Amino acid sequence: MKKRTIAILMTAAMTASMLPGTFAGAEEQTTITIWDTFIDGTLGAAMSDIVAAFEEANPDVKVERVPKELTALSETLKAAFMAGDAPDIVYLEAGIGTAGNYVQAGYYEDLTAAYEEYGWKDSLMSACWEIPSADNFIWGVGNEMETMSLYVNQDIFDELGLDQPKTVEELTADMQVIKDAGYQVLANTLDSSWSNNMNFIGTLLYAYMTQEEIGDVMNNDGSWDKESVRRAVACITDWLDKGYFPEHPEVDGDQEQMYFSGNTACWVTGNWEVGNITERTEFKTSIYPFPGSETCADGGSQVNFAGGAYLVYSGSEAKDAAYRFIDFSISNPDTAKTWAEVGGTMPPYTKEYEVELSDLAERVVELLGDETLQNTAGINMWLGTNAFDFFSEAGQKLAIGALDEDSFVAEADAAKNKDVETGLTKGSFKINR
Amino acid sequence: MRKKSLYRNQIIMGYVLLIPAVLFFAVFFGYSLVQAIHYSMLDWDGVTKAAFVGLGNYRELFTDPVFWKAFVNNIFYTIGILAFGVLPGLALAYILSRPYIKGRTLFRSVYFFPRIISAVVYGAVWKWMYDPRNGLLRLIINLFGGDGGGFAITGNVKTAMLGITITGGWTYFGFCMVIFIAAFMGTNMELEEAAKLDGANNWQTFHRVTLPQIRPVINMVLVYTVIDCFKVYDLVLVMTSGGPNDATQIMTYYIYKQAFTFNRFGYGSAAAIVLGIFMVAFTVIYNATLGKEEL
Repeated sequence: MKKRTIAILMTAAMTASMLPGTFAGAEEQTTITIWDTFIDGTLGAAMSDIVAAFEEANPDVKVERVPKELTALSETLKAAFMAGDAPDIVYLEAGIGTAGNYVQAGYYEDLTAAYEEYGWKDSLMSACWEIPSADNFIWGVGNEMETMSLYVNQDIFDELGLDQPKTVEELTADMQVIKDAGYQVLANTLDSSWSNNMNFIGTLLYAYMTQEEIGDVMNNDGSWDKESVRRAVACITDWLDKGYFPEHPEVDGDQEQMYFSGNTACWVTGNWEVGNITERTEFKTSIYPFPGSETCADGGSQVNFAGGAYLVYSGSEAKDAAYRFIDFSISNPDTAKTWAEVGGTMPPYTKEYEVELSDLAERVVELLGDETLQNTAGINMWLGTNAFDFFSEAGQKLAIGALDEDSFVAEADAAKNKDVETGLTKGSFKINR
Repeated sequence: MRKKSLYRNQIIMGYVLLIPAVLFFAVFFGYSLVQAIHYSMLDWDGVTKAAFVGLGNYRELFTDPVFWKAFVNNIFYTIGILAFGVLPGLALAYILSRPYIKGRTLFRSVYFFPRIISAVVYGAVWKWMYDPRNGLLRLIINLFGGDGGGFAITGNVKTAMLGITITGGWTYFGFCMVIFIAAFMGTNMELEEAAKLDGANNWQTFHRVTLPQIRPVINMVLVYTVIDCFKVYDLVLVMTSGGPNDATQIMTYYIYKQAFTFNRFGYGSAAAIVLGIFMVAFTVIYNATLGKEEL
């Protein structure tokens, strides 16, 4: 009797234990983990909205999202890779200097086939794959498009009768007019911040260098020793000598405050400032493409960035779900709207979608989509680690007179050569297939 | 016989109780140290396959002018902290440990306050104070008829390290003061009174009677200060990021950049090992010479 009772109970227990299994099988869920850098309010909110929408549209996939500060993500990611416990998707800056050695170590998946399958090259801006790729290997899908432009206080320009400068030389002439009128010319500093150096110098270099010359340095490890590079450096030193920068540009300064004060006429910056300018200034701002030099054969290029990129861990057991999430997140009119309206950033989605933007943000969209402009990935997107470090400090060194045209070119080439030795340039990068 | 057995058991128990601490030390210090030494002999980016280079990283390190610049800057910073932090801390501690000073507790709290603030915060505050465009220093110099805007302390290669050192000293003197106050409180006041009765002046009493009594504490503070000064990182990161033109490059920032910016983990480890050897050597030499306790 006792044995029978136990047998009945065991049978009941086994049957009961099979029931949840049966239900689980019917609703089998794949879980994907994402580490991203959207810790701030707007971008974090956009990403949360997109994750929720994706889970609703794809009930078979659960997304576990872990937002992390950039440095923390970079440092923990290395340990996660080495432990074989990395997230399925990583959202991170994905230039060759940042991601190249992980790609060489085989931690990131080649997304070439995914680009084909999902048609991303037809729906996204080319920077999405031009930046995270080398040696016929695409390791990322870029997002958050950014572009450097010339932001001007239109009130000051109107007062002084200045129009949109069509060349750097015209801009230089306008700067003297602005200075003579007693206004601060530029809000830019060339200080200890890497981005203040890199973005400004990159913009000036692209105003003087032709597409061919940029391609030579970017893709073929070509020398920086070019007449156009020397002219760009000479232009910066000329502006420094003439006092167009704020006092002591080598010392860290609050560029936003300088521009928002209303006493500064020009600011070479990116569209990440559009929200701040809209909210915090009372004067009218116009955004002009940064003008190319008269000496540049093809009229110069605009500097573009992808703020980050989706990368897929090669050891992921849920790659298909990961690709579906990436596709949903960036190649979709609804999520493009979310990125723009909630996140305040420009999605790389090129097809039409409805979105409400401020006047300045609309202007940025115009510039990004303007086919008459040569939109080219900025130098920080493709430099190797040594060259990146050089350009992070080069502006400050120019400001204190520690660099001139010759030493600039020599040090840039020396840094590039070190990167070539480590194989972390687009020209020298090789994958062990 | 029984007593001997009890003694032996106590010894065994002592060793048993030491095991957790020894294990902790072996895992978190010993293993890490051995691993760092191993890494220092590799050409390794921290991710891809490593190549053994023997002492190659050390050879490169000793010929790298930026490494030596960082080393010299650390020595400059250390001397500066001794001048702007330890000495004022000692003087203040002596004054505030005198029983006739009113409001001593308030002064102690106020002077110690900088020590409890994050380096990121006071670094940013001092950065503003030094700002030649609208900083406090500019305002003060202008107030006295000078040209405050003509001078950028952190933007000039000759003065940038001094600016950081002054900031570091400002945060350090309160910490030294607290330690020295505790030491002064433990001195024998009767000896001071006896010295004064014998005709010693204030300086002689301080120098010949009070100071020798706190010498072990001074030694401890000096060793701690040197080690702490060679570990400074966040202040430089916030105020100058090692610039302009490497003028404020220091060892820890150099190590971090090599390992994490340039992905040269082997080379960065070699620099860290050299830094560790220097600090151990300094401590041993100091304790064997100037810091030797007189019996």
